[in-house]
Amino acid sequence: MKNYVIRRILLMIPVMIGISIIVFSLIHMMPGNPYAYLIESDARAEDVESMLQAIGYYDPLPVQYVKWVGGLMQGNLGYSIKFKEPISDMIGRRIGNTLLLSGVALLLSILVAIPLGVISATRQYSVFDYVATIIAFIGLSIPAFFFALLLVKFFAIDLKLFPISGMETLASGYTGMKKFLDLAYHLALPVIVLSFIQMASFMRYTRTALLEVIQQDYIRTARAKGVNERIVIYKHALRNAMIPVVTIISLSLGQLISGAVLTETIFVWPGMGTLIFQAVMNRDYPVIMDATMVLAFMILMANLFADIMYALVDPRIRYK
Amino acid sequence: MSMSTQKLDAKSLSPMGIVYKRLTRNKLALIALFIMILLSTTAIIAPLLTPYDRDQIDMANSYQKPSSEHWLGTDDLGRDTFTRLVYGGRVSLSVGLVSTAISLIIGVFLGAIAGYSGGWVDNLIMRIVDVFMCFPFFVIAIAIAAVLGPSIYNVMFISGILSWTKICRIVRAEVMSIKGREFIEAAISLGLESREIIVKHILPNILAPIIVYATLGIAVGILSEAGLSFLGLGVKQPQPSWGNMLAAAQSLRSLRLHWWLWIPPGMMVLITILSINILGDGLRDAFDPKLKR
Amino acid sequence: MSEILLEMKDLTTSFKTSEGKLTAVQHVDITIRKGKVLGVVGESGCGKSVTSLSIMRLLPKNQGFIDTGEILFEGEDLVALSELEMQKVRGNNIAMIFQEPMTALNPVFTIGNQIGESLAIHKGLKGEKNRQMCVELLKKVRIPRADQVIDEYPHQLSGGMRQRVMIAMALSCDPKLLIADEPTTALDVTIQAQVLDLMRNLTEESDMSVMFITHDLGVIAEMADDVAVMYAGRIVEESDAVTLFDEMKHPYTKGLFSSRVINVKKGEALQCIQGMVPPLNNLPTGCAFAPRCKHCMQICKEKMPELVEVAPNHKVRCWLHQERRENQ
Repeated sequence: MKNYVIRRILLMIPVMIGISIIVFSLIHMMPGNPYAYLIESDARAEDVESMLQAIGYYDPLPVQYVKWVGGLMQGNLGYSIKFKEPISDMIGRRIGNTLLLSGVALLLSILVAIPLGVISATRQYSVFDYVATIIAFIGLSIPAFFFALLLVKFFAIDLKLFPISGMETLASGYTGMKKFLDLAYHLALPVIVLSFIQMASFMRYTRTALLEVIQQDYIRTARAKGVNERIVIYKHALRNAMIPVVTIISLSLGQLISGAVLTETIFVWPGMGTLIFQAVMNRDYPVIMDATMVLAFMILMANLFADIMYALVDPRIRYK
Repeated sequence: MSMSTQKLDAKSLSPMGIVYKRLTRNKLALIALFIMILLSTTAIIAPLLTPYDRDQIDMANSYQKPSSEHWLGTDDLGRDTFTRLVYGGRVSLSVGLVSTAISLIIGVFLGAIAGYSGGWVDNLIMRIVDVFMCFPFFVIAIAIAAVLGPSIYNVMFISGILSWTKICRIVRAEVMSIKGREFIEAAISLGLESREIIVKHILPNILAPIIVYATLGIAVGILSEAGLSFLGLGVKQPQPSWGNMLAAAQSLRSLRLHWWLWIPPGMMVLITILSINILGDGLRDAFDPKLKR
Repeated sequence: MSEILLEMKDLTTSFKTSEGKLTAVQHVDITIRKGKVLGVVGESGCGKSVTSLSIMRLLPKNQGFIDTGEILFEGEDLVALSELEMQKVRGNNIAMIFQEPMTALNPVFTIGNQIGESLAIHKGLKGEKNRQMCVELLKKVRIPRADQVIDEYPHQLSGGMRQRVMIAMALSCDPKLLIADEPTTALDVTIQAQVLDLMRNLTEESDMSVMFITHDLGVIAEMADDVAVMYAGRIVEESDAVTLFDEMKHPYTKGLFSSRVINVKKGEALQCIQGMVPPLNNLPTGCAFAPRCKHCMQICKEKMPELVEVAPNHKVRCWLHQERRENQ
């Protein structure tokens, strides 16, 4: 098990290098001088020149790359061109919000999807199964941002049940419990959007996996032992069906974070998604590079987590 | 028992015949196929369906509600929404098709090479796949879009270049499993070239997963077009696409008051992707009924 | 004649399929005596497994149904029991071993956990007592290192070991009837012999009855006290083992016997029964074996013969013997 994890971690290194090279070259293909923002309009040409020299604008690309990666490894993420503030501060302020949003959405979708998938599978071809399947297909097909817009239109604008955007009621000065409820109130719509879409796929996977497991010989063995049908499903079958489902859930963490970009943009949720979108709009290259690297790293960690979870639920992997 | 009856079927029908028979038994998939044909036809004959010009500006008639004259009202520039919706289908569907073609070419090519050669070639290609799979898809997509600038061709390229990993893995796995079978060993011992073996003997055997993937891939292309254009990084005005029509909802005023500007294109995206997903699912079952049960 | 443990009367079981209803087992009567081994023999698809699953009431849900008949177990009709009552019978009074030891054990639970489960359900054994009992059972089926194996997972054991675990699991609650559905078919020949040996010893030292399902007449000869031969969902011949091997009557039984490798001398061609088992949705009118039978007569193609007693405790379903008896 230990070797398995170490091997997985070592495999992450070349992948991380590959990602950083691609992100770096991508950014340096962007047209225009990104530092134009930094330059005061009345600055003298030789001052501009020496400043660009100082920040390494004229360094050869490989040198710039090494400097950048070296900085990343030491946790030195550089400065935002647009806001002239340390990128680590900007990311630090927002990463928690993204984790909160996607974490709550993930939890909710798991808690709803797995029981629904189980019921759907145990009552295959029932009315419940058909309705759940159709809803799941819609969830798999609806563009997240369109769903978000529909929710905003009906629940925030027309019915005024939820706030249109943001994370808290501005200048409310809420504290304690009130602050928490205010946060939950603002979380509701974006969480519904993100979790509905995840829910659909988790539910389908649970259903498919369980239907397959129920056909297995060892389920018949359990029944032949006189095990109660409920325990057959929830202990013997579900435990096995969870092996692929846990993998899918862990792997979808990356998708969830990535999918949060559009959702965050619509709800003006102050997370990594809005940060990157604004950075792209402002051509704030260092921010795009660093934030993308942070997201890619989070996705890699999620994949590592998926592998570990997979080994934990499947003894056949654990003992290899 | 059902095994023996299936065997009887298999004797009297060709493999494609069986797939066809199974697919036609799936009512939902047939409806989805019908919708897809309808949508494609609509997109192709778009000019015949509407008396209006796609980009005809008519400021006097901006933000008209749906009426018998303008079935889905008009937009901020007084252009007929229904007309733009029909033309937008052209853009969205062609983005879906072209981006899928791009990802298929890359994915099948690399997957076949990786699976067939094995060794360090396989290792290298699989690490590249890992790199691409760890990309936050939409983040990289908007970054590339910002580099390349908004245009329909760039959307096709971005969506294609970012979504070949799945098919690459599928093809690799299939090629690896088929490579070990006797008929390939026979081909090798006959002295056939690797390229010939892959193209003539292996690829036809993995057509089923490729077709299923290609179907579902169109949905990915349409979705990324919608997302990028919604953010203003995709298809440029005045060319209409479902995505940039949805961008109307970026304005709070239109979101609140002008539902006909953004709900119809959103519904079109939803219906298209829903049909593709159902059809893809149906195809998967038709090719391999074991997968469902 | 010893006491009767299980008596199956007129059992008909069918399956609902996309092609319509398929009857897998038709009007089968079976008697299992206390402490005796009943061997059920026939080619694959003849309905022997369906018969055993009907006893266990483990037919695939929403697909397999018992249409008619009763299965009296110690006088109680299993067909009439509710699912909950049936759960108390399964694993407790009637236990079952399956063909595929590689897939019959749950891969995510330890051996001890899986054996202990029946003990916990039916005997209420928990904790340390449960564990001790599991180790004892593993020793009983001659598994070496029993106290370690108990904490291992199925994938760490060989096929033969897994089948021993299955046997230990089945024996855990001292069942009155053990149903073994081709328990050795999937194993290597040497392992087969060991497992058969084990099963014979275990049945000899207890008063448990066994229903032993196989396609191999040799195994029947070694194990069984009584034999029922099935073909296409019906019993075609039944008697005690000695009588059957001495005076087999049905052409199908004879065919099965002469197609055994052991019965072939060097230089002789291996005999086989021509043709295939007819599909259940397309059974011939008349005797189901008629198309493959060397002695087929006109009447065989027209009418299904009855299962008639040709000698005490020896029944045959064949026109050859039916007419002979009528003529007497």
